Amino acid sequence: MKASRFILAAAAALWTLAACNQVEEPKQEDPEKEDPKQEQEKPEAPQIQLAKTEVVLLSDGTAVEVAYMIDNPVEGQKLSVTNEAEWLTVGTNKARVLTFSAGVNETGEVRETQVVLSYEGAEDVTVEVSQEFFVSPLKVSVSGVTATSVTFSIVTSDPELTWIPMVTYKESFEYFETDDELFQNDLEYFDYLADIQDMTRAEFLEMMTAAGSMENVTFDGLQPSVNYVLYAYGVTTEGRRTTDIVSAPFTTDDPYEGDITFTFTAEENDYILDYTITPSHTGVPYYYGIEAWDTLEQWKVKHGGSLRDAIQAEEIDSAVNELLDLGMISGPEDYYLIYNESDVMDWGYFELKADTKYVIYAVKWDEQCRLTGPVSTYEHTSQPVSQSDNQLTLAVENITQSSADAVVTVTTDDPYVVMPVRKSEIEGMSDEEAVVYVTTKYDYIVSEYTFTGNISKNFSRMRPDTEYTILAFGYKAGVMTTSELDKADFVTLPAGNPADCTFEFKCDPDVDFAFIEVTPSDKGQFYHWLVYPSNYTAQDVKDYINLTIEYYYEGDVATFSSWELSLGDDSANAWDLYPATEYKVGAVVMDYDTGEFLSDVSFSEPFTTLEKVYADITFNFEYGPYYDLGELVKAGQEQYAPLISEGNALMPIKLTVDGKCSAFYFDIYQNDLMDEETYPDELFYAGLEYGCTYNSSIFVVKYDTPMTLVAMAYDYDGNVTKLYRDVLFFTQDGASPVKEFIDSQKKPGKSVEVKSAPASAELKVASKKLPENRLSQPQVQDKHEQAMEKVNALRREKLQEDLKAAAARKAKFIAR
Amino acid sequence: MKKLIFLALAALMMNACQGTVDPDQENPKDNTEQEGPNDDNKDPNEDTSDLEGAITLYAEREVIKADGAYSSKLSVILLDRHGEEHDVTEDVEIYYEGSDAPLTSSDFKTDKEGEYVLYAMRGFDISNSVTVKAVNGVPELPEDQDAANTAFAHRMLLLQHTGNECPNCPRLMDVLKRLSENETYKDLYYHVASHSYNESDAAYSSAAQTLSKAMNLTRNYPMLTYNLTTEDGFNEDEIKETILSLSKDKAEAGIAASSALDGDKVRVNISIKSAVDSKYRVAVWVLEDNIHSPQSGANASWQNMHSNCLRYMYGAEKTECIYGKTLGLVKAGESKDMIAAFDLDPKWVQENCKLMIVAVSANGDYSLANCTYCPIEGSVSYDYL
Repeated sequence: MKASRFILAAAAALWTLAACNQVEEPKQEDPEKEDPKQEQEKPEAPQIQLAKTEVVLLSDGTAVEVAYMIDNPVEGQKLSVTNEAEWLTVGTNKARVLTFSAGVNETGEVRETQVVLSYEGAEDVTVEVSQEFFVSPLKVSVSGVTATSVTFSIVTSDPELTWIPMVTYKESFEYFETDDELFQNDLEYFDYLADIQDMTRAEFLEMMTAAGSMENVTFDGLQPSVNYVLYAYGVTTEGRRTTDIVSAPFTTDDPYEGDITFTFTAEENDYILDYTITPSHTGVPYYYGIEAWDTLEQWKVKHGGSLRDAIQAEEIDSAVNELLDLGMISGPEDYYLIYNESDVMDWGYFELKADTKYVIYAVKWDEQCRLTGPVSTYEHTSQPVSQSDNQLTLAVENITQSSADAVVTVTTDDPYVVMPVRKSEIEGMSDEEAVVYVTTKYDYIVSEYTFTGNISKNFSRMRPDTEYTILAFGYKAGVMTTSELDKADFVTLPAGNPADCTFEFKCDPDVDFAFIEVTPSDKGQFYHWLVYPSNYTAQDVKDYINLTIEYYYEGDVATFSSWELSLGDDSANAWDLYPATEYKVGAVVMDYDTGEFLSDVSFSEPFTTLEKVYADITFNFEYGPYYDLGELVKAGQEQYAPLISEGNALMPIKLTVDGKCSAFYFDIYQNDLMDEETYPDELFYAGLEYGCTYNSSIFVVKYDTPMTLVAMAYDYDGNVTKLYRDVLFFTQDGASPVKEFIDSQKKPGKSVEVKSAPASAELKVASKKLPENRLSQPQVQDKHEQAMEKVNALRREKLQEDLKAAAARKAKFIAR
Repeated sequence: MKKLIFLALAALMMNACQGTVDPDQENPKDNTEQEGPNDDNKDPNEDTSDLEGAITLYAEREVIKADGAYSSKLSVILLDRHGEEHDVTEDVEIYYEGSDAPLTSSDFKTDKEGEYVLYAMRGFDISNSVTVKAVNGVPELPEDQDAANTAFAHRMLLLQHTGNECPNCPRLMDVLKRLSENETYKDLYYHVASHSYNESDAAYSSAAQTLSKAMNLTRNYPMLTYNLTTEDGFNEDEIKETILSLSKDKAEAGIAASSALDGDKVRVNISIKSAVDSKYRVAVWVLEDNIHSPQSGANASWQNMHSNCLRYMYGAEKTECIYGKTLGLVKAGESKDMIAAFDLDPKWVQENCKLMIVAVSANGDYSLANCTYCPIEGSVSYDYL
């Protein structure tokens, strides 16, 4: 490497420095090797050389490095820097480099100064340093507004400036008095979003920021007729704001009152239709769907040729009525909430039947699901399907009381269907009729029975001593593609006496769940199994099952059997058990059709769930004063007026936690919930995850009714704390002077960490769950089961919710 | 306060995070990752004194032992106005921040722990800054019992993309369990479980998420990928077929490593010995075993306990580069070592953690040369045939 001229003479001083850090030291020059003649000569004067003597700093103060060197350096001497400008920093941490830096120049004027570099024996060198004044490097302008979107442009003076745009309600924006308050609030929001995505703030901001100017950026998903503010600011990934906050208010358009039309795109790929629907005016509610053209024509005939009437009656009204009958909705407005669209719909997906004409339609409607505008349509005819030369060979093996293996060998990779049905179902049908029958009747599950390549597939949940037929045929996009239907008849083995059926159980308990394996001695018997409290008797079990049929299934044994009864070996995690609690598994053979008990109840040995390990985290709450909302509004705090309908007072709460906490949640529920026996911790955990996650919040509370502050936190191992509870009671007389609150919100430099949230209403007891023993298996072979499967597919979610809610009501009966 | 999330930014986000960062495209000025100077630039007889252009400082190693002997070779490349590169290492002064003295050798070494921010000066030109970390507690590599041997056993990497709320994932878990018990297959691969399906999974990690992004996975879980490249589903026959097709009788590189733990600090000494002339990158991952996370769709209780779960990828935090750190050229029959230094997250159970070390050939594209598990506070030797 090149030797340094500077370092030759300054070596002595530098050795001292280097001795401290043990890092590679500079080469020592041996003075004795120097030319004696030179020693006699007068050394040349030192001279400061600088890469440049004019330094222009950007207005944001970004550092500028300038290299220098000392000619003819003098031993022990160092470059000295004279800088009288307070706004400027001249760093000398890097050898031979001067680092000029400053803060943002917000003076509105160009700053200039001179920095003098001195070195003994050398002429001083003056560096002219200037910094442009800061001009907001960010401008935002709204270029378009619809009922549901805003389009804007951002212009940055620096193409590398990273910025982030936000849209919020006008009143939310105006709530913050300074840029810093708004920014701190945003930072807290970013941290929250980053945290729930297991990201750092830097990772999150790197993902969310853009750089440089950008035109025609659109935010959609807005609501019509609402005042918003679009704002933006420069921000680094470390979370440092680099510009003022620039903003532009706007109001979304009112929903369009007139008729709307729609444009469509559709693309077919291997009988999958991806389609989009674009309304002429966003923000207007509309309904859309896709149906075979033939079907629509039939509907139209029934409804006087009107496509709109046909869709209204056959598609919407019939569905609403069916769902009403099933208790899944309480009125058409619920259906509207599920199926309404008001913006561009770009996720349309439909599995096509081959060579079939379809119609995609969209039409304006109202909250009562009444179609109110003209129907826009788009027609698409799917591709025809080619015949397959696949040669299928079908064999049935391993027949048991409830299952059989279908072994299929093929000659091509073309798809084919293998489906077992009761032989009686297709008795007397031709092959073609049988195929049409099963693919029509079981159309909704044919894909589950479609395969490629050689397979050995076990089909289960068959009835014992019953004739079945397995059908195998090429099938694609609703069309039979092979010329022949392969069929194999067989009879399942007879079951034994149900009363003789015994059960073996394996129970692997954890804290709040257990993995259960149930092995019946007779694989041909339908049976019910569940985890019960260990003190349950056989009669308790039967009572519980009868209650389940009567109340949860409304006496519908077929549905109960479809969902609740097992056949053959079964295993699953049993969820939502209580820690350190003794349970046992109970199983009993039942008649699938009548719900009659056909055997005694068999119990496993009792098992005990593991002790819960609670997170070692403590909560430090700061709360107390609360402020009357009415008085606040009277004092000019109009922004709180809308909250009067939600409660009587505002109460700020601050929370800090001690311990290794990965997440915390707190909330205020109505009523006194301090009784752990009546309201065990488990009742709260799931719902509380929707609680507040900020360190500071302001809650809207009510007078003259007990309320309970609850909190929980998780450690890094996923353990939760015992529930923190404190009952609160507020009265108008106890409210503090509102001036305190108003003043506290105006403190200069106050870091705003305030969220306003109404105290949650009733504790949702539905969060108290019945140990949910298993999910239903997808294998659907039984005729009746298949019929019910379609209904259950619709009911399942609702049913499970009902079960949980009902279980909560009977929690003591079931689990205590 | 209600706040609307900025939906339109989704489009902007795509540009920021899509796919794997190509290490070759990284800017050396960033000081995050450098592929290293091109050896072709080194002409010892070239007179570079009159050349003008920007200079870039490279460090052979980002981490060195603070023992005064172990070094990181520094080199400085000048890019002239014709776009040609020239090695000007002999024509510059190299400093580190806080010291007035230029280094007297381009082999940087020190006996004091710390992070050294190095830069080069050529006249008035200032290079980028490069940080070299000097650490104590680096364990010795296991002794190479057969130094002349370059016949290494090959292991492929099976990367299982999964999650505890993925109802179909137990199907792949079943297949992998059977594979691990199958004499024909169990020694052909090492397994890593990347839990990226759902964040509520106790085995989820941002590293797993980075992997899923880098491999451009959709939501089609579970997914099994091979050697950080080929994708597949969970059909057992296809998996077996793919393993057999990708397995090699002999690996092009062997991996030896030792790891030490001091508190949360992990120090890993890694040596890559190559059977061929090849450039390599080396990835060091932290895996955790026995993570309890109830599995949706579980058909056996063991499926509630997850092992080989990816927790951390050394060096991938900023770059999202899944191929690891640059090792550079290793000539046939020779070995080259590197050190990794990082902290274990206190959220992980230390005694359940181990390392996965992956050697990736980096000769224009990236292919997995070999991989191995290495215990924390343990070592692994070259696995010779």
